[in-house]
Amino acid sequence: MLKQMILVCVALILLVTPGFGQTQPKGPVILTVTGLDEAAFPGGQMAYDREMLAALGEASITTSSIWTEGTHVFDGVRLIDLIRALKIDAPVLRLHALNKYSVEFPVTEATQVAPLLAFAMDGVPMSVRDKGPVWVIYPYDSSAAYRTDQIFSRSIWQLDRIELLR
Amino acid sequence: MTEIRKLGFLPLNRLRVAVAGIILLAVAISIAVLSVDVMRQIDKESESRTDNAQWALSQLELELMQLILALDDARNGAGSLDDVRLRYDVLFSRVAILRDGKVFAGLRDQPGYTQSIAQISDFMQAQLALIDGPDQALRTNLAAFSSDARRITEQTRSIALSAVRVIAVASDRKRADIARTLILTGLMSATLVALLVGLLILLMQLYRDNRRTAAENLETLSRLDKIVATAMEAIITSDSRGRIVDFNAAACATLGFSRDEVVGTDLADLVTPSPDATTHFLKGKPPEIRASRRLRVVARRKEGDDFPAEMAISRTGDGDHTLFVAFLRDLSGQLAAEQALTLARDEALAGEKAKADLLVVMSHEIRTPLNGMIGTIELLDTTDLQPHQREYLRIMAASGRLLMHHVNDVLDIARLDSGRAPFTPTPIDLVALVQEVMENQGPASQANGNTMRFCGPTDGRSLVECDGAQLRQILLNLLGNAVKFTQNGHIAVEIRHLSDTGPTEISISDTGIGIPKADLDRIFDDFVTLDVSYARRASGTGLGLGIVKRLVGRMDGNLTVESEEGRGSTFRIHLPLPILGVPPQIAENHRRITENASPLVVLVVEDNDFNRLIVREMLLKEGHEVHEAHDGEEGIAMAAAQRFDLILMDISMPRIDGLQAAAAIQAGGGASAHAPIAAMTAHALADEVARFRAGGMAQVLVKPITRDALRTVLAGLPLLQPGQTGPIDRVILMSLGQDLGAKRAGELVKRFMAETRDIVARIATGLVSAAPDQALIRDLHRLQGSAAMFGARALQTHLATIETAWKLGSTQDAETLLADLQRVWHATEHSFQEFEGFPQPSSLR
Repeated sequence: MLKQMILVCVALILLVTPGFGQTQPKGPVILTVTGLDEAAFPGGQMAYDREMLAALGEASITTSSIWTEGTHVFDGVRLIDLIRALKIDAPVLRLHALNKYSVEFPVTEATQVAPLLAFAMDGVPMSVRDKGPVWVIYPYDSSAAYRTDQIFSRSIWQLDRIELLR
Repeated sequence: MTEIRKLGFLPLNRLRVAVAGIILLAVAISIAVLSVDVMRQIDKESESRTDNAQWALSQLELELMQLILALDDARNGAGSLDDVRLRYDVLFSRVAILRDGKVFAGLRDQPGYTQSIAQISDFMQAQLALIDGPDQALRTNLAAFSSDARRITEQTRSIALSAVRVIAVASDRKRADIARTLILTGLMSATLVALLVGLLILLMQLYRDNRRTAAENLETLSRLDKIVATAMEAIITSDSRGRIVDFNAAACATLGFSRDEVVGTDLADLVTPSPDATTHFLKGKPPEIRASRRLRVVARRKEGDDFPAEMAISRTGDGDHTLFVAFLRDLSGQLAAEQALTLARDEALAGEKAKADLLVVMSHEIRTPLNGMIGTIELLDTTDLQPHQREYLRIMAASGRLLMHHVNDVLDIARLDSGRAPFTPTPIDLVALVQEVMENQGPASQANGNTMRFCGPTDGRSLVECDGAQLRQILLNLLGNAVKFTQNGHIAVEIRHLSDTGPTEISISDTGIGIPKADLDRIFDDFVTLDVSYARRASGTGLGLGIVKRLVGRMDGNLTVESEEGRGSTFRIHLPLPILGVPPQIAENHRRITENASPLVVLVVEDNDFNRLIVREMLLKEGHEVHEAHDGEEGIAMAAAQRFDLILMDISMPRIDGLQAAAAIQAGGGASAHAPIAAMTAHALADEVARFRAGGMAQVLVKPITRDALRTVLAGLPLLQPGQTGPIDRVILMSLGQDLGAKRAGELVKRFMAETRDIVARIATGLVSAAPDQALIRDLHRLQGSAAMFGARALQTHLATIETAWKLGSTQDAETLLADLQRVWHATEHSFQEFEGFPQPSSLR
């Protein structure tokens, strides 16, 4: 009985928290966050479909990149918004790509500007075939500070999982 | 004195420092530019455009292998189709990046690369339908798919290899760039260091120079200090605020202070500028001296007494380092010397004046006895003489005249130089004047066998305003010279106006001996007689031309001479004289009257027997009747007793002088009270002549009296003869009209007549009453002056008589006097009314 009460409460809290309007992905999962607090997240992970991600607060960056031809508009959600939504307190994240690429990311480096977890390019959802489902994008054109090897190494495409490193 | 060299500011050193500075600046700029370049390069490096290309390329091969593995797994049943699809997609992405990504743009220039990418792309496109198709189709084609995939592993390898090549070249180039930049930076740094070292050496050299200069300066300064300390002149040094910093021994001696007493005190306490100098320094303030200047100051000794001094103060240095060096010289001695000099000069001037005065007095004193001699000789000449006696007499007469001439010359020079000969212009008929002078020189000219010719102004305007006596003297001297130096030649005098308004040129030419060119410049100097032969032919003091030059100068004219030795000389005078016009007819009338003069009864009052004798004889020869008085007293008595047409009165007589006697005669109311009186005097100064005229003298005869002069005087007087008597002197009236203009003169005459009418009426009352009041006597006296001015001579004389009578308190003749006055006044009034009026200027021509 008590356990049920607690569950209901948790469910309620999750319901009223922004971004938690929908806790279960309805469409295909495009991003999974692992290593979360198991008390709050079943199995310590959280899976997102495009809709859930967009609900965190859509943002966009218009820039060119060294991997593409010309300037494109990237739509997605800021990494910092995701970090805040999930109340991530881990110092470092590890970002995993479908192509087995991975890179570490210090949480403090996520800012209000960058990076963006882009899931659409020029208004078209990105497929795996086209560096989807999620591409970490920085505003490379805006500053030389966004054109360093470090930044380029973090601009991971075909991102599908974020792991919290304890 | 050695100049103190200023530390560190030698021109050469300054140049070196400047050059070093410029080079340093240039190098600094270069290094800055280079640094920016290096920074940019480093920046470029930090901004990676390549990602990790090697990684990306190796991934291509790896991801192809993973696809092959997935295909094989699926075929064996170990793997799923989804895994195949995922690996395909991943590889697809990778190929797209290698084909389109900017990071691989460099590689795409490699033909092998582009070709390989194209082949891989083709492979991917070929499998696309299969991957996106149903599972069944994919599953059945897995084997073919796998073998196709294995076939293109070769392409992925070739891509990786070409990439290795290109990237190696690129990174080599990059390394070379960085190396170049680093070398440049190093070179620049080395240059900078070298320059700094050079600068350091330069600075050290400067330092050494400055030390040496400082040492030299120190030496110079100590030498200067010694000079200042031992200088004879007081030297005071003060700082920028005027406080004394140094005070040398001479200054101590001059001012009485010791050095310690004054150092630190204010310079202004010791010296104050003279009151007439502008203030250059004030207590507690920096002296207002820009560079250097000399001032008259009043300096104060310790004892408290002031003395005049000259201070030469100069400024050295600037700002807080300013020093004022003042040289002070005691001027007491110099001022005393100056005063003594001034005194000496004044005394010398006074002595000069005394000498000039003595000359004048002596000339006067010599003239009187000389006059006696000349006169006596003339008289002697009229007596019966042996021929040789007559010859002696002629020589005596010539010598006497020459001596008189010399004395006159000296007197003239003294008078002109003393400035006591006033220039009194009156209307003068130039033609008459020249003719008179020519007549005067006529006998001498004829004696030399010369002929004289005269040419007056063509327009007949010979009436000018000038001092007649002075002009006469000029002409006499010049014509006299011409006559003297010409034998059997021609002398010509010409007058012409150079324009309608003057100047007037009078030229005197002769055909005489002329003047050597060398002497032309000095003939106008005083006491110049030319060569011996010249002197033999004619004697002279050499003052004649000097006098002419002075007189012409006084008239603002100029005198020029042209002469040719043996051919003759021409003297030209240009005088800026006011030209009045054609001489009035009156002058002609006057001359006519003179020529027709009938014998007169003349009284000669003269205490000097010789002079009296001369005058008497001359008058007798002219056919006049002569009465003699030996002194003033006798003269007065005779004049009272008998009516004379003319009285000749010597001025300087013992007891009663000529002026007193004349006044008594005119005032005495005797028979000759109205007779004109002519003064005879050796005092020829113009102001004296004026005084004599004011004293009632109608004319003034200057001794020695010659027949010509006497004749002229007799003719020029308005003689009281029946039929020729006029109560007014028309000559005076005419000259008044010329002086003032017809209109103004007419007005004045009218006013004079009205005034006189009034005063005459009042006098009539005064004569009847016993005691006339003082105001009336004053008016009477004033009226005499007016009457003289308007030429009313008869009236003037009569008024003088009345005034004397009143002063003597005699009223017994009152009725006679009144009757006479009224008669004279009526006659005068009538004459003024009859006077045809002054000539109008417009009608003068």
